[in-house]
Amino acid sequence: MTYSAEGQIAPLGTSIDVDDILGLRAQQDAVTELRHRTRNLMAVVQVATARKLRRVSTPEQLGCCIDDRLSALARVQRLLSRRETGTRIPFDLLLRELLSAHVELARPEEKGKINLDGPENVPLRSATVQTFVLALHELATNADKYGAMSNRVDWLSIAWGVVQHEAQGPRSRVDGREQDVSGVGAAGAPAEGGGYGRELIERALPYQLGARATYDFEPDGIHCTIEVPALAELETGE
Amino acid sequence: MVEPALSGCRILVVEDEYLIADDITRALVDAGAEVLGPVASAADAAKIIAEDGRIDAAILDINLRDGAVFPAADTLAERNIPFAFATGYEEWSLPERFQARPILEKPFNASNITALVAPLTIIRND
Repeated sequence: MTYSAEGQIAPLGTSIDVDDILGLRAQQDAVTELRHRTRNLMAVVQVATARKLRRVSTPEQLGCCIDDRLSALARVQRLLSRRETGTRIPFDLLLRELLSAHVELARPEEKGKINLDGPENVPLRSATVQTFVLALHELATNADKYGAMSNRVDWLSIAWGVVQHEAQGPRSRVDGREQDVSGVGAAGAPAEGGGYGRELIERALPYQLGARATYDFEPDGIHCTIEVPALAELETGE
Repeated sequence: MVEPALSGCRILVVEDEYLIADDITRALVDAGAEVLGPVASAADAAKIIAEDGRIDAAILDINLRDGAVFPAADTLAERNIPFAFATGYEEWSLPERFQARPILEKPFNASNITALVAPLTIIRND
């Protein structure tokens, strides 16, 4: 004997059949969804590669960029598949995973350079993760080359949290800032790397996620802010 | 000079992945079309369909952040506007009423888009 959803005792045989059918249906749905996501991911890789191809001048440049981007996407897929369906990737986990491709976060000298500040449980909707990652990856790559993580050092500070807006309800906010980057590093940065990361942040995130984003070259370095509607508000879309 | 394939056509693009939307738009504009949108949500698609006078054809991604594109597709069908789906879903997972519609399977390249849309607009003009 077992209990039905209403709390009534239902004959065991019947409920097993129904469970089997529901299970199969859920499995089919999952397979359909997985195929869809895979193809979508391929399409994104295809477009991103074609765009890069228009901007680089040597095959080496292209190879290096594609390698980095595919690795970033692969790391995210690993995160996505590690987590149970329906659970959310916390922002800090994603950020650490992504930064770890660029720096050893655990090394003391790196700790001094990179300042991460925010709560541990700000969830990201899985549909937002891919664009977020590509944008953050481009920023980190840029910081690697020109800014806070290059030898022209100083530091990179990333703060995040949930902010309340009277009109729009809660929004997740990320604030990334390079500080005291000496000399021309920051001002010289808006090369092609900055171009793509900047486009993702200023245009892709608002288009795709209803985000509000800013990306500025300040005297100290790049300052960028991203605000997306917090999860509760978006939940119905899934 | 050869007239671009989609010269003067007004084409609605509904696609929630920014890079893909940008790619489709670029291909259509290169082929001479005027793009309505692109828009990323079913709500914005409905708004364009309601407000923009002439639409010659539409390219629709299926899974949008505010739900499926099907209500917008139904409105287009009612108004006899041809459309194609651009999607990673396979045909059999479409509702039956849409299964005869052309599908552009992801990943695709830009020249496929023009090849798919051009015949749609010819049907429309006849």
